[in-house]
Amino acid sequence: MKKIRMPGKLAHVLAFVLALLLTLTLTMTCLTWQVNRVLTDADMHRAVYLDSRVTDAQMARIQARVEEIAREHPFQVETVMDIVNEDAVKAFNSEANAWWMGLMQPDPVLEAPAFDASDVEAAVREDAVFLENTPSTHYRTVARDDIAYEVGVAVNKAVLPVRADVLSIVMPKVLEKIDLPVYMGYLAMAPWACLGVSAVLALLLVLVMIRRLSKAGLYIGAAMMASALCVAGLGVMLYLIGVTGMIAELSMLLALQVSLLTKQIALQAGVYVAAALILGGGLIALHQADMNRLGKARRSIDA
Amino acid sequence: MARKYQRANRMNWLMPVLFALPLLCLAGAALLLWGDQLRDLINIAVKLAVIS
Repeated sequence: MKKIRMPGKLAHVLAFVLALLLTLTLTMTCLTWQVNRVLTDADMHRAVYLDSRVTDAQMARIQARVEEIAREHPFQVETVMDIVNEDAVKAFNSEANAWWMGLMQPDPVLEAPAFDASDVEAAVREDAVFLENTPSTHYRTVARDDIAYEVGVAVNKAVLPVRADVLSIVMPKVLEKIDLPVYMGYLAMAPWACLGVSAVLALLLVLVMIRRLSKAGLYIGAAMMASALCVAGLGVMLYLIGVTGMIAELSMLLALQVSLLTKQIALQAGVYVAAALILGGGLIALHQADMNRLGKARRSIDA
Repeated sequence: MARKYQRANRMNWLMPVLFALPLLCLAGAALLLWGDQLRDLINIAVKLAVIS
């Protein structure tokens, strides 16, 4: 009779430890991948700031402020809104995004971009309502300081509602202490490094369980499913901290962008969780089928 | 004997929970212990950086 080869107790203890480590490295792969995307994935950020909900909210905020300015210093709102249109706001969004992402690259530009409102000034100075209601000696100062400057501030606040001056003070200090671009390089490698370590651990599990490969499948599958549970659990914990709510208390516009960004990350992390659950579950199911087949063979021999 | 073996075999489906528990417990404990401080820290950073 052919003897059924099974791994010993030591092999199971080793496999247990390796599977625990594999759970950790697989979870780290997913987490570092997502952190990396938040800090470096320009395409993902473009999809967020070009989202029609973001543009609509920004345009509504800018229009409200322009109407407010027009009540103080009469001019036709359309004159300004024709210049500060959706395309101009989207272009400035792109500029602002390139700026903050560049802060973590070598030789960053510390000064935040400002919306160029010189066209607004020129247009307002030719506006019929403005010319009728403003003393001719004040055309230039009112158009430049009271209207164009304020419109520029409104666009800046709508697109980049952060204290750029604080960043300009803090970032040089941070860059003095930490070589941020080097750490960003490490972060870019981190998901691949974690994936590589995971592959090595999976290979070790196969070697430890070489007597019955389906057992290696059981441990690898269990680790994959466990990492899916960990990613989902950590996601729930991060959600419970409620960063979006804190931002929403101060700026609904930024909170909207953060919420869209969170959805993008949750979607991809969700794909990882689903894939890990299906693949891991498949490997465990293969092991179960193998063990059931062996059990049946044993029972038929006993009978 | 066969039933006992089958029950033990079915328990294999609980292995993912067993492997996930240490990490989730650690993260949960950290959140319980330092969650409030972390929230305060993030809140201060958000208030410093974001214009209302």
